[in-house]
Amino acid sequence: MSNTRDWSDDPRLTAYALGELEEEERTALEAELADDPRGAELLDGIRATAGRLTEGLASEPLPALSPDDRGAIVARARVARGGPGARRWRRLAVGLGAAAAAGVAATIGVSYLTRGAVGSMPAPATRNTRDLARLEAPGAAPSAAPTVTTSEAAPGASRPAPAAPTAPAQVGRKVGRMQERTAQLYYRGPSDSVPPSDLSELRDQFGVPGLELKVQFELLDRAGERYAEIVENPFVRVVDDPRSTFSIDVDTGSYANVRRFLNDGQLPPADAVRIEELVNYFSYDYPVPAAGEPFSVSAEVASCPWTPEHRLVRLGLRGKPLPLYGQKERNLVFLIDVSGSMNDERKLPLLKRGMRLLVDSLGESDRVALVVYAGAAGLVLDSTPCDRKDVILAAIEELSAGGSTNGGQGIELAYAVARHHFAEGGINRVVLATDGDFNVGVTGDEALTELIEEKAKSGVSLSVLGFGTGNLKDSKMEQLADHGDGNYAYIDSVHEARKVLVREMGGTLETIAKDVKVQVLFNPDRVAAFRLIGYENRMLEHQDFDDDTKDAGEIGAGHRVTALYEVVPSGVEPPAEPGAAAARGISAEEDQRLRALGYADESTLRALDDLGYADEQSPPQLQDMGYVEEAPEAPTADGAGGLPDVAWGEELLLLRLRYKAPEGGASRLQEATLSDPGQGWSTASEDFRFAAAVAGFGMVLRGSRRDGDLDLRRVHELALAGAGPDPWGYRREFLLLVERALAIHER
Amino acid sequence: MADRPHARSTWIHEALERFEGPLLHYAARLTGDAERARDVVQETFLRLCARDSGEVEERLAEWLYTVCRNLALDVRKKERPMTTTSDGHVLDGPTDAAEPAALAERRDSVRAVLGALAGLPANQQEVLRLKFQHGLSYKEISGVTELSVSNVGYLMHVGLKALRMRLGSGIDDAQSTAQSTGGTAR
Repeated sequence: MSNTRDWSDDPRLTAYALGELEEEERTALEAELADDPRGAELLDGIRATAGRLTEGLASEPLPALSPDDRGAIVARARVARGGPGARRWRRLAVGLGAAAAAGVAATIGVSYLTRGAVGSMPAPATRNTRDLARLEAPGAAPSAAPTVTTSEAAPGASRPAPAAPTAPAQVGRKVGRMQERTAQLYYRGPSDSVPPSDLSELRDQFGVPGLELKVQFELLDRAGERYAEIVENPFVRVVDDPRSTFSIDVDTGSYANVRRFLNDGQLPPADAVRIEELVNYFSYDYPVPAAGEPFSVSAEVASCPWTPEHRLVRLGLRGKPLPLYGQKERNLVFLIDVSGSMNDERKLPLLKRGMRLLVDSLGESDRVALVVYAGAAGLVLDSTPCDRKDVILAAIEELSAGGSTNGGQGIELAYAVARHHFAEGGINRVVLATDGDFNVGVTGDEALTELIEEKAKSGVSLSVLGFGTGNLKDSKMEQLADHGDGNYAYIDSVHEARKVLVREMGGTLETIAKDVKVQVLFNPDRVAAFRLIGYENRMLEHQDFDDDTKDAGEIGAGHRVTALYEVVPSGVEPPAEPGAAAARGISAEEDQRLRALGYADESTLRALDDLGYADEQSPPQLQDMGYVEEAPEAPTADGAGGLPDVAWGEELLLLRLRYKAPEGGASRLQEATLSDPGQGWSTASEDFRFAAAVAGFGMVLRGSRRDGDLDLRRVHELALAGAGPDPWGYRREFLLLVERALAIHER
Repeated sequence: MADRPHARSTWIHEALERFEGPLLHYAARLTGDAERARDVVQETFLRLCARDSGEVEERLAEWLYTVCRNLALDVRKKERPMTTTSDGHVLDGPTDAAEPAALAERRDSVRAVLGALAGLPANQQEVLRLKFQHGLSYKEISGVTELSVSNVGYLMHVGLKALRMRLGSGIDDAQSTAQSTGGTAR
C-alpha cells in the first residue's frame, strides 16, 4: 500500500496476462512485478476474469448462412477463379519453395537431415553412406513444390461448373422437421434449413434454456463413453535398451474429443487424451518431399521446456502433397449409421453437411454410394458418378435416423458395392460414419475385424468417422480403422467436418505408404535415457520392425506425422522409473548381444573403443550428420535382433524408417542420424515450440507425473510463442482451448 | 478428362466454413439485425472471391473482420440509427428446476459474465469480443477497428477491469456475485 503505484490503471498488466507484450516490455514488467506483490495479485484477477469471459462467450450461439447465401458465394468463387486463380497458385508455389528453404536455413544442424531426406530416397543396390552436406547441390532442392500447382493452374480445359445444387424444397422441409426437435437442445450445428429470420428468433431457437438441457444430457451420457487405458511411456535407460519402436499414427480424433469436453465445461478423462493425436492435429512446416519420394523426414532438437536439463527431439514426416483433386478416381461408399442415436444435431445433420461439402468438391468421374444400417442394412444410393451430383445431394438430404444398429451386415454390403465399382488404380474406400453405438450382431468383434482386414487386402480400405457424445466407443472405432488400413477421425463441429472431409481429403483418402514403422536407436555416449511422448497404443515389438508380415500405420498424401522424444543427455541422472527395468522384457540372450555391440555401461564401451571398434566403420561425414540407405532386400535375422552395428560418433540418435508402397511388396528401409548442436529453447522454431506446447497440454490434462514444472499457464505461454502466422486460426483455437481449461481448472 | 480446377472454390469454402458463424455473430452485433448480418457476411465473402488469395491469406482473419465491419457500419449508417442489442436478453429463459447444482452454478456464472459485459460501453464490448470470442490479437483488432494498438490495449484493460468490478474480485465469491448480477440481467 505504501508508495507503490496503482497497478489497476496499467494496461500493460492486461496485455501481459494475455501474452500481448513484446519480449522487451515483458522482461521490464516482470522486473517491476517482482517487487510488488499487488501487481501479481491483480494479474491473477485479470486472468480469472478473462477465463470466465472466454467461457461465457463460448456459450453464445453461432448462426449460419442460408443455403442460398452460401450457394451464391460458392458460385462466385468458381466463376471468379480464372486469371487471378492461376496467379494465386503460382505465387503459392513460390511461397512454398521459399518456406522450405527458410526452414532449412533456420534449423542448423538438423537441416542437413532435412535435405538428405528430401533429396534421396531411391534405393541403391548396396548399402552406402552419404555426406548430406553434399546433397545441397541444385538438383537436391525440393522441386516438388512447383509441381503442386500444375493440375490446378491449367486454365485451358476449365469451364464454369454449375453452382452447388441446393436441395429440393420438400427435402429441406423434411430435414427441418427433424431439426425442430433438436434445435431447442443444441446451440451449435447446421441450422441452414431453419434460417433464423432475426435475432430474436435466433435467440428463441438457440437460447440458454436449450444450452442447459444439452449440458445435462451430456453429463448423463458421459458414463457411456469408453476409452482404452493409456499407460504413459516411461523413461527407458539406454543401458537397458537403446531402441524405441513404434508404428506411425495419423489419427487426430482425440483432439476434437478433448475440445468437446472443454467446450462443455469439463476436463476430459485422462484416457481420452492421446497426446500424439493432439500433436498431429496441427500442420507443421515440414519440407515438401522431393519428386518421386513418398515423404520427407526432418528433425529438430532443443532444450525441453518442462525439464530444461533434458532435450526434446521432434521427428517430422510429411507425405507428398497431391493436388487436392488429383487424377485418381475415387470410389467412395459411405456406410452410415442411421440408428436412433444418430438422430442428434451433432451427428447425422453434421455428417450430411460434411458430405455435401465433400460431394461438392469431387470431380465428375468420382463415384459415391450410400449404404445405411440400423435394424437392417440397405443401399440408399447405388454408386453414382459425380456428374450427377444433384442425385447424390438429394439422397444425402433424404437420410434420416431411426431404429437400432446392426453394423455387421452394413459393412458387408458396403464392401460389396465398393468391389462392384472398383476403380482400378484409384481410391477405393468405405467411409463408416457412426456414433459408435455399434452392434455387430452375431458375428462378434473378432469376425468383424477379420472381415475388415481381409477387405483391406483386396484394395478397399476403411475410414471411420466418429460422431456425437455418450456411447462413444472410441477405442473400438480406432481399432476398426487400423485393421482396415484406414484412419479414424472424430467430428464434433462443422469446422471439423470440413477439415476432415474436404481439407484433408487428399490425405484421408489416398495412401502413399503403408506399414510405416519407426525405430530410433539412441547413442549410449550421448543419451542416458529417453521416453517417447504419446503413441502408447502404437508401440511395436523391436523384432517386428524388420518383420514385413507385421502391420503398422499408413501415411496419406499431405499427412504430417510428428513424434516427440524427451531425451536425458548422458551426465544427467534419469528420473526414477519404478518397475521400468522389469517392464522392458528383453531376454538375457538379447541383452548379451546388446552388450557385445556396445550398448552397455561406459567402461565396456570404452574398452570397445580401445579395440578400434567404434572407428572401424565411421566415415568422417557421420560425425556430423549421416544418411544411410539400404536396398529393399529381405531383412536378415542375424545380428542383434535386427540391431544395426552403428559406429557412433557425436550423433544423438539413428532414425530408421521402414515402409511399403501402397500396393504392398517388400518394405524399404531409410536411415538417418541426428546430431544435437545444443540449441536452446529460445532459438527453436515456432513449429517446434507449438508442438511442444500441445504435447505439454496433453501431459497436463493426463496428469502426467513426467511433466516437470508444467502447468496450463505455462502451456499457454509456450503455445503463444509458437503460434506463428496461423492463417486458418487452428492454433488460435488451441490457445482459447487452453484458456478454457484454465478457467475450468480454477473454478 | 475434364479438368478439375476446384482449388479456388475449395479455398473459399474453407474460409466460409471457418469464419461464417463467427462473422455472422460479429455482424449481428454491429447491425443489431440477423437479416442484415447475413447480407453483410455474404457480401464479405463475395468480395473475398474477387481477391487474389495470395494477398489476404496470411492475414485472412483480419481481412474478413475488417471488411465485415466496414460493411456493417455502412449498413447501419444507411438504414437506421443503431440500437445496441442487449446481451442480457439472450440469457432470459426459464430455469430447469431439476438441474444439478453444478450446472446451475455454471449457468449463473455464464449469465453473470455476459450480463456484466452487456453493461460496458460499445467500444469496450467490441474489443473484448474480438479478443475473447473471436481470438484476434491486439494487432489484428487494431487493424480491424482502426484503433491504435495501445488504444486497443487500453480498452481491453479498462473493459476487463470493469468486468472484474462487476463480478467481484475473486473466483471464490463468483457464485454469489453471479446470482446478484444474473438478477439484473433478467
